[in-house]
Amino acid sequence: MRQRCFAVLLGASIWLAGPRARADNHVTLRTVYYREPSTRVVQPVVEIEKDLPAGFDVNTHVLVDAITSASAASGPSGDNIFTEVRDEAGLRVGKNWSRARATLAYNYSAESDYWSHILAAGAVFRVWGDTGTLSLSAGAGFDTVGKRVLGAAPRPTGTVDDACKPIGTSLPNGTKTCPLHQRFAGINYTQVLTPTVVVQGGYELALLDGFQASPYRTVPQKGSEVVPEKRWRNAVALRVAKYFSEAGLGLQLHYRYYWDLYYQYKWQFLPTRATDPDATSGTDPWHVRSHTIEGRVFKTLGRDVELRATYRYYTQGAAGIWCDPTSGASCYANSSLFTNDPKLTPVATQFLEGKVYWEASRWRGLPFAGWFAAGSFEFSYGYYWQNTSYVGAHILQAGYTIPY
Amino acid sequence: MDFGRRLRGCVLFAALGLTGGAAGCAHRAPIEPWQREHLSKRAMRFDSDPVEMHFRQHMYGAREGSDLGYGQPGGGCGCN
Repeated sequence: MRQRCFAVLLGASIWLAGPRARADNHVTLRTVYYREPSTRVVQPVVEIEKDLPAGFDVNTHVLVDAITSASAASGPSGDNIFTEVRDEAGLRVGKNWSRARATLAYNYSAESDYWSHILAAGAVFRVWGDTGTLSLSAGAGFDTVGKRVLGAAPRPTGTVDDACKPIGTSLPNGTKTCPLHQRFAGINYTQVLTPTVVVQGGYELALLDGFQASPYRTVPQKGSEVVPEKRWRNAVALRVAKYFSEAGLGLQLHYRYYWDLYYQYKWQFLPTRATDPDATSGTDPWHVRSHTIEGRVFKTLGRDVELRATYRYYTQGAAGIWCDPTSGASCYANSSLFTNDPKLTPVATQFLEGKVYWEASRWRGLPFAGWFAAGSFEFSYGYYWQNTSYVGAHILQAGYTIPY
Repeated sequence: MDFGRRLRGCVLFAALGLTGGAAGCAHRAPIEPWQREHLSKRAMRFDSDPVEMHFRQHMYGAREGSDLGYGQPGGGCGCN
């Protein structure tokens, strides 16, 4: 079955509304190759940044996801192979002052059954003698979910229209769509403690309202999945970086805690509708909790080469609306909410990656290769392992950045 | 009070405490310009590669049930 992600969007964004990662004019080209048992993705990306007069700068990116997948949803009997393309483009404009920065950004993503518009604004303030950085961001996303069925494939078991009724539209095969609106905000504070120690803490939230199920995914005995139309997502993160100058070694540790907020009855932040299937449950219908720990080690080798090793561990409890359909036919018998989403099961993942950065200055003066001498190359390989039906994935990345 | 709520409270308290403590320490010991040599290194920056993070967050968002908290935007599906 085709996998869906519902564009959950995420405040304090580096790209959309955060501080600049590089303070110069540059072009970055990158290609990602992703492969798991049922899916392959090739993603070329171009990013361009340019300083403008009066303290302004502009950053834009364009990417294409070419997704080839084996999908039961794409054919009437068994798996079919199909390829889909997702296009994305973004534009960010920044204005800099001596100790502050403001940004406005827009991002658009389109594929044959999912369209997303994101607007974001951000502000960055440097404090405590330029040792502290306070970042604020907020924005909104406007997504549209459709359904794409190849050929004469039948609709999934059950009625997709039922899943869409709470938000007032229907979702027949590819002719109508359902909306998903998002609002998000974030705050991050970064502090230089010593010349070799930096810490960061942050909080982000996103409010989702709309169609959050997959129009393709079905639940045994129940048909198309039905999930609540509202969700309040929260995360706090702590990061620490330490550089050991004598060894040329850098270390980063990240920790993140995520939780869905129990919003319906406790504070009534969000308006509820009588037709919400979760409005009468009295409990947090999502109730996902997760912990993420990530460590990175950086090592410089000579003047031109830097290595980076990354390990990430993620663990998540099951969503409140999920129950294992293999545990018995009565699992969802009396429930108005049901899902078969692997992301809402107890999930554990690990990610291990190695990366090489190489400054190409040694090519200066060489014919042809010398054209690339002002830039830097990067190559990485990672393996992503998961205990769900996604199993595992290989990720290869290659990139080149050149200042101009 | 259930365990999850207590854990969430502890994490929030720790985050506020560490961040506040960090700001307090920094105020007493400012970093001079000539001491900033290592701060621009890749290892000392949490946002050094936004293009890469953009892809990684998309990948995580498609396979894990808890987006957010990476300082990164998602958007669109293209979920690999």
